[in-house]
Amino acid sequence: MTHPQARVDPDLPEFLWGSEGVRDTVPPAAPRPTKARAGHTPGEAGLWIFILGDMTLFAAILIVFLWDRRSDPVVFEESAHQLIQPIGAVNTLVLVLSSYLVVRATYAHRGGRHPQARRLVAGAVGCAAVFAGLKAFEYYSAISSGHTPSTGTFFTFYFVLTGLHLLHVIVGTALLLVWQAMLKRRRSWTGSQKVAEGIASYWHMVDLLWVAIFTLVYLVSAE
Amino acid sequence: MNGAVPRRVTVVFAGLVVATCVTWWLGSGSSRAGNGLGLAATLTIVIAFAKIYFIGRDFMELRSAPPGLRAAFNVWVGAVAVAAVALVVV
Amino acid sequence: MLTNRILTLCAWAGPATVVVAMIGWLIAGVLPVPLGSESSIEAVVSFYSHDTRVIAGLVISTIGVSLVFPLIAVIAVYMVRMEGRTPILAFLQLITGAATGVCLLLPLLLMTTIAFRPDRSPELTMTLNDIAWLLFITPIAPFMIQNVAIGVAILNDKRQTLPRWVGYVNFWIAFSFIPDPLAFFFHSGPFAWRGIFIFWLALTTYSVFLIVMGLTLRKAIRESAKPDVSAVNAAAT
Repeated sequence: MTHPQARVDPDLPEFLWGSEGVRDTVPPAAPRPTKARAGHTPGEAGLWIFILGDMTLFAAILIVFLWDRRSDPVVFEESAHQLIQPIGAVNTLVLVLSSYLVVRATYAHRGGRHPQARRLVAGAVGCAAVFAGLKAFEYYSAISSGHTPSTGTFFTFYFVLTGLHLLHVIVGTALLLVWQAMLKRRRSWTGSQKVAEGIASYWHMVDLLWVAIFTLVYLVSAE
Repeated sequence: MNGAVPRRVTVVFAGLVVATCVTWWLGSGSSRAGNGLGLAATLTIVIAFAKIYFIGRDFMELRSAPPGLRAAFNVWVGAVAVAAVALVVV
Repeated sequence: MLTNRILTLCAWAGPATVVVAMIGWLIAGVLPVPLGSESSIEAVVSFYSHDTRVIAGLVISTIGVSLVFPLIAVIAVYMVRMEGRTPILAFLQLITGAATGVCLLLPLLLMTTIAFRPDRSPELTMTLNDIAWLLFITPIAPFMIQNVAIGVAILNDKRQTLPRWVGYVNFWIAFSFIPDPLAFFFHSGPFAWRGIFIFWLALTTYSVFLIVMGLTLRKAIRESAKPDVSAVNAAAT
C-alpha cells in the first residue's frame, strides 16, 4: 500500500514511509464537508461536545443534589446556612466580571489590538486568582468548623461540586495563560481564532456552571 | 467584527451583575416568611438560568452560532431550570 | 490486505469489549445491580453462593475486558501515524492502555476467586469483595492519561487522521473518571462505589470510549485502504 511517491526509508517502519514527504506534498485535510449552515461555531464543533457534555455532567450532579435534598430539606437548610453566602455571591460577581473581560479580550484580539487583549486576559486571570483565594478561605473556614465531605449529604455535594468546579477553574486559567502566550507572540486572529474562541467558550462555561452551583447550593438550599 | 465590544455585551454584563445581587438578596433570608418556599426559590432559579442563557447567547456568542448548537444549549438551560424548579417546589 | 484485516478486527474489539463484558456481567449478576459498599454481609455472601453462575459469568467478562488490548494496539498505530518520528503520545497511550487492561482484569479475577469457595468465612468474603470492587473502581490515572494522550494527539494532528471531535470526547471521558477515588470515602450514596456518579458514569463513558474509538478507527482504516487518487493520477501522467 505504499504510494509511488513515498520515500522508502529502511530505518523507519513501513507505515511511516513517506510520512515526512506526505506532509510536504499533501495539503492538510480539507475541512470535513459540513452541511451549509448559517452561523459561526465559536471555536470548533468538537469542542462543544466537550462543553455540553461537561455541562450535562454538572447538571446531573446538581439534579441528584436537589433530589437528595427532598428527603431532608431541614438538614440541608441548616447546612446551607453554615456556608458563607457573601463569599459565594462575591465569587459569582468575580467570575461574571472575568467572563466580561474575556469577551472584550476576544473582540480586542479579533481587531488586532494585542496589547489591550493581553491586559484583558490578564485581568481575567486575576479574577480567577481572586476566586481561588476566596474559595480556599471558604474551604478552610468550613473545615475548621468541622464540616468535611463526610459530614452529611449536603457537604458531600458541596465539596464535590465546588471541588470539580475549582478543577475547571484551574484548567481554564491554564488555558487563559496559553491564550496570553499566543497574544504575546502577536498571533493574528486568523491563525488563532479557533483556539482563542475555544478557550473563551470554556471560560464562559466555567462562569455559568458557578452561577448554577451558587444558586442551587448556596441560595435555594438555604431558603 | 473588528470594532469594539458592542454595547449589547456591556448591557448584558450589567444585567448579570444586577441579577446576581437580586438573587443574593432573595436568598439571604429576607423572604423566609410569607410567600412560602415556592415563590422565592422559583424566582431565584429562573433568574439564575436566565443569566446562564444570556451568558451563552452574548458571551459565548451563541446568538450567531448554527441553530443546532443554539438549540442544544437552550435545551440544557430549559431542562435543568425546569427540573430544578420541580425538585425544589413541587 | 492482511494487515488491514487485522487492523479492522482490532478496531472491532472496542465495541466487542462492551458486548462480551456486559454479557458476562449479566450472567454473573454483577449487572444490572452490582453489590454496593452498603450491602450487608448476608447479601454479599449470598451473591457469591451462586458460584457456578458467578464464575462462568465473570470468566466471560474477563475475556471481554481483555478485548481492550487489540483496540489499544490499533489506536497506537494511528497515533504513530499522527505523530510521526517521535511518537511519545502513542507510546504513552500504549503503556497506560496496557495498564488499564490489567486494572480491569485483576479485580474480576479476584471476584472469581471469591466464588471459588462460597463457604469461606463471611468476613473474609466481605473483605475480598471490598478489595475487588475498590480496585476495580478507583485506579483512574492510567485511564485518564490514556484518554488525554489520545485527545492531545488528535487535536495536534494537522492531517486530521481522526476526526477532531473524537479528541474532545476523550477529554470529556477522562474528566468523567475524576470522582471515582471518592469511592474510598463513602459507604453509601451517589459517590460510593456503586454510586451513580462512580460506577454507572464510568461504565457509560468508558463504553462510549470503546465504541467511539472502535468505530472511528474502522472508518479510518476503510478510508486509508481506498486506492490513493493522487498517486494514481501521478502515475498516470
